[in-house]
Amino acid sequence: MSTGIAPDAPTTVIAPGGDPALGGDIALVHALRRGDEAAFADLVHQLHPSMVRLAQLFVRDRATAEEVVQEAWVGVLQGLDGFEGRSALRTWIFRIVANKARTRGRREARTVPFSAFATEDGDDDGGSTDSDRFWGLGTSTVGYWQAPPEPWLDAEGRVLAAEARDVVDAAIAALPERQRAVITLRDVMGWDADEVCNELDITATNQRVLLHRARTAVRHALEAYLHAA
Amino acid sequence: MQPSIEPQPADVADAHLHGAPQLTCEKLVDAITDYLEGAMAPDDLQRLELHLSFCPPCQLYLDQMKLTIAATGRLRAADVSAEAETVLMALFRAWAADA
Repeated sequence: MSTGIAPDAPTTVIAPGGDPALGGDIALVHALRRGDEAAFADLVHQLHPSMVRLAQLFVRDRATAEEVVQEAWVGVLQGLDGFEGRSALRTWIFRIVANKARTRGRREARTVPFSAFATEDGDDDGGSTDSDRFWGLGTSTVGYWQAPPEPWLDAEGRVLAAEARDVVDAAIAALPERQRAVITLRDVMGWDADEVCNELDITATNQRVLLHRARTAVRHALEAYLHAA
Repeated sequence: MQPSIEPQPADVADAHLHGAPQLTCEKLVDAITDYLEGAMAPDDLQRLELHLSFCPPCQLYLDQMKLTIAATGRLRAADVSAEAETVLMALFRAWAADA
């Protein structure tokens, strides 16, 4: 994983001549192999919620996602002996989750009628800013704000509060599949653009377009929520 | 360089950068993710930053977009259910005992 490490990343031990993050991973793996329960509990608290979110990108049902992640943890423990630190532990764990979730998702797809599946057309949903918020053709000010954004009162306080999180959560859940995937991996889980492009097998441009649409929709949801109060 | 009164759109429309067409608010909003990703060509970036410097509504939009991203990031810190934790710890103990 990139060095854009989440603030809740484990404290690291620097292996001689080594990448600090990697040293921390190796130390953690040793601790786990020794049966250190506190180390495992810590790792679970850091990663489990993100693992469930990741699984939900492939299997929407939350209960199924939790199941998949439990299977993934089994895979993690069983694979620990073979972990050589060629990638970060996090990356390796997320890869296990993604593989299991993808397999499970495909298996479930076969039991659902084809018509039930949204096509990728949803991604082409403009979803972008309402063009009627800008002056249109035939005016001297075409393209400028007609209905500009209004300040969000006590923005930092309310936007970062628990209720706003529910609004954001709901907005993300309502997104077309690939927009939901990109904003989850980028903005919720903190993956960088390259990692997301690799995981979802999309180009950098695709990724930006999807991220743009997703963020625009979420901002819109927050705006509606903050004005409704 | 900050104007003391909010510029009227017509004034803004007259302000050209190297003779290039002025960036409109609508175009800025469309480009906002490219901007935040650092994926803009230098000329476009310059036009955008110039526009931001004299367009308070666009500056506000950018601030709100940054807040949105911050709010989304807060979703990462979720709790592990007690049930999940129990299952996983049991799993770990069983694995550690065998290892």
